[in-house]
Amino acid sequence: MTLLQVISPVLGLLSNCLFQITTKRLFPSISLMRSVHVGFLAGVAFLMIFELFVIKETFYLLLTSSLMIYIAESFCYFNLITLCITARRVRILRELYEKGQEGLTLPELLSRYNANDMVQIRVKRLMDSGQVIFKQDKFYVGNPTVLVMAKILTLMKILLLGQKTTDTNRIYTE
Amino acid sequence: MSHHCLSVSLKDLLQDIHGVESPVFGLLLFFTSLAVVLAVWRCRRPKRHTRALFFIFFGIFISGVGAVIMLQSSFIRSEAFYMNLYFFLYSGLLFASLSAAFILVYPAVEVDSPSLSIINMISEAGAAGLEKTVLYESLNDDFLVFPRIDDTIRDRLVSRNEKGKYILTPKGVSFVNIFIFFRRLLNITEKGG
Repeated sequence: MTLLQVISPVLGLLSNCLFQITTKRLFPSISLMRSVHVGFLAGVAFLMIFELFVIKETFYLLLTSSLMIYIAESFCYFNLITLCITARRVRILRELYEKGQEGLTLPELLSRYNANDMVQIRVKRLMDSGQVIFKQDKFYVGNPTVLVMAKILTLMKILLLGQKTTDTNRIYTE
Repeated sequence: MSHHCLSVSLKDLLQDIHGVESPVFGLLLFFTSLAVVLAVWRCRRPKRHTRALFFIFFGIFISGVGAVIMLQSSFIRSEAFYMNLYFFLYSGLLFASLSAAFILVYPAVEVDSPSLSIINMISEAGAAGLEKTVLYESLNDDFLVFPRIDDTIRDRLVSRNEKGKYILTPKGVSFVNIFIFFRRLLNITEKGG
């Protein structure tokens, strides 16, 4: 094991971030997801070139493992990006941040962000990405990618928590 | 005698995985951590789950590194299997990246995400489809907003002042500044949520 082998997936992640941010800033019309794809592929390309042409003595098992690290790191980066957009807690905190020390009462906070807005935003997002189809005042499943993710999470819930769904209010033990 | 046998079998094991000891070690620690999380969660789910996950993952990594250093100094003295700093750095990197990915996914396991709840509801409605009013009535503030406000208070990101207004704590300001910075960096203008 050498220093170059250790830093290779980290450099892959850095090129991912660099390409993703540059793409999004240089071409604002490009969707965020598209920029994420560009960054991810740039990172994979960098990692392959670095492992095969700079380190040279690498072998396929180690390359696979470096790729595994890179994918896990990229997944974390992708999560950070999505948290900026979709996380409810972050949105609530941003609303309070805008009001500073003045703060917001519960009705004021709900007038700025509530379940109705949230469902509207998310349904629109799901429809834009083709995951959900709206026909004659009814919703249907379209492209099943998110549904597959939902099934995987349900499986993890059963494994970890021993139940299919979770009560969003309080599920931990006091 | 037993000491010698243990030394030989460990050497044989390392010979089999020679070249990929570091990733194998990282994966071994990761799956051990998952098994411990599973066992702890089935017995008693911790109140502050993220903190508990950090403790378990970090504790197992430190214990694993300690065990390898001890084994190396006690049983395996061969130069061929000398585990250097890069061995630990690489396995640490593999372990940390997989653990971070798991810790980031975990909240979605513990709390139903609105988008996944929407998809699940539509999927359960099947070919008959899900009426718009049913969807909007099922997902209300009690289900989607209030638990998240409670979470921010529990995590000391938000406090309530004497006038009953919610305000950010210094910890909350530092936390939200990370996301504000990234939103500016990525030119994200949509309000989101």
